[in-house]
Amino acid sequence: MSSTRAVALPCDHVRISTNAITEPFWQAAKRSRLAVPGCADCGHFRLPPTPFCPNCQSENVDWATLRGSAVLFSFASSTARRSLTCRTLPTSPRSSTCRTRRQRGW
Amino acid sequence: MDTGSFMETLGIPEVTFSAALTSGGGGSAGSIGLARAAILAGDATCVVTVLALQQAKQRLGTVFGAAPATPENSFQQPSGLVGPGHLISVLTRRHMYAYGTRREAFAEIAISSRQNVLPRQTALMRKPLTLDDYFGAPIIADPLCLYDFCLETDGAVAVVTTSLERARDLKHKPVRVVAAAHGRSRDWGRGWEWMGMPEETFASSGHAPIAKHLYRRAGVGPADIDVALLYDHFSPMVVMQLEDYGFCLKGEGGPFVESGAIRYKGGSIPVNTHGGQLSEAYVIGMTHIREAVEQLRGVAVNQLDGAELALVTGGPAALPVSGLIPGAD
Repeated sequence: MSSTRAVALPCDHVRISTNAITEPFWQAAKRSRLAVPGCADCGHFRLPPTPFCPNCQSENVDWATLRGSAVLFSFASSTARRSLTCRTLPTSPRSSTCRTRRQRGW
Repeated sequence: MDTGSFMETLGIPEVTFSAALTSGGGGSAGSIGLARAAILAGDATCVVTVLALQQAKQRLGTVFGAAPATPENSFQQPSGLVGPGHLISVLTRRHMYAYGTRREAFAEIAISSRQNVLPRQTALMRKPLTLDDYFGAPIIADPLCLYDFCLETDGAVAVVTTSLERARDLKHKPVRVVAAAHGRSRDWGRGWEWMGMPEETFASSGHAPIAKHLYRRAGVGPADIDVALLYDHFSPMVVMQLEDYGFCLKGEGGPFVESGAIRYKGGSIPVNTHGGQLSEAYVIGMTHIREAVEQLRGVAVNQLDGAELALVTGGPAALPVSGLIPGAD
């Protein structure tokens, strides 16, 4: 299995907002760890983090650190300009070229 | 525009009932159920259901990307999934993987909708669409291309609902509200923003429970429906609704569509005979209700002979999704 580390997320270029419920996810991400909230009573995982377990409504949470390996369930490839890489780029001929190529199916 | 603004602008002396279904397009078809409930309860004698759309400030196609960052949307927004169609592309890919659904099926939906709209003078899209046009179009959110996304339009539609007795005294031929339903199952969660769905629900339109209630309340099944006016914000959701409403088996929506089954001419269940949101105009599901009324009155542009029952759907979105079965009187 190849091991490729994501370099774009999380980073200072991504504008996010947090609260007490979601903060542990981002704090762990800063340390290159994937932490997710599991219900401390029934074990059900949920993301995004929410105050109540959608399975048993408990408020008790155990933050589990996952290995980060997974089976890909589905994905999309978006050409939206407000995506990760384009958001920080100025409007320039170079970024326009990048968009055009991607719209052609790159 | 809220009810208060309508009263002020139009000089309405009194309102005795006011309600709205949330979720934008998800509630469109089901909103007629609210009107019927008010009339049957005696809360109102005549209900006008209005949807007006103006996108001057923010187009809906990229609405999630334009929103300010919140603790919840921060898990989605940085991914570049900036609008409903981008999120639905994720559900679509799973459907393609699980059932072998091909882009040719989505192309057929776009092309047959365009074919249906050609005689309609007021439609926005008046040029035929070819398979080459479809496959040559820019990809917006792979696997979805430009023609899988609906139009973005300003427009408005109003539906007037009253008692059947009163409607029979009016100038136009009435159309009956046979059944209406809205809601969703817990599995569907937040709709296409929810990555916690079980697999079968993930690759679906979320309409299976609505279909069940609607058919039971109407005492009919999919074979009794003469025309299906399915909410077509994104073409794959037409495939998945055909499955959820039982016009074909789960997973067989792709080959069903590719066989020509949804065409106005020669199809076993004509879909979006007005051209839908993909080709006529996008008024968040309300043009589908208007087309049902025209079909059941016998005055549609692409009239189906002897149409007696229509299916109209709203959504798929978060809570609620909805459906409506109107019938000829």
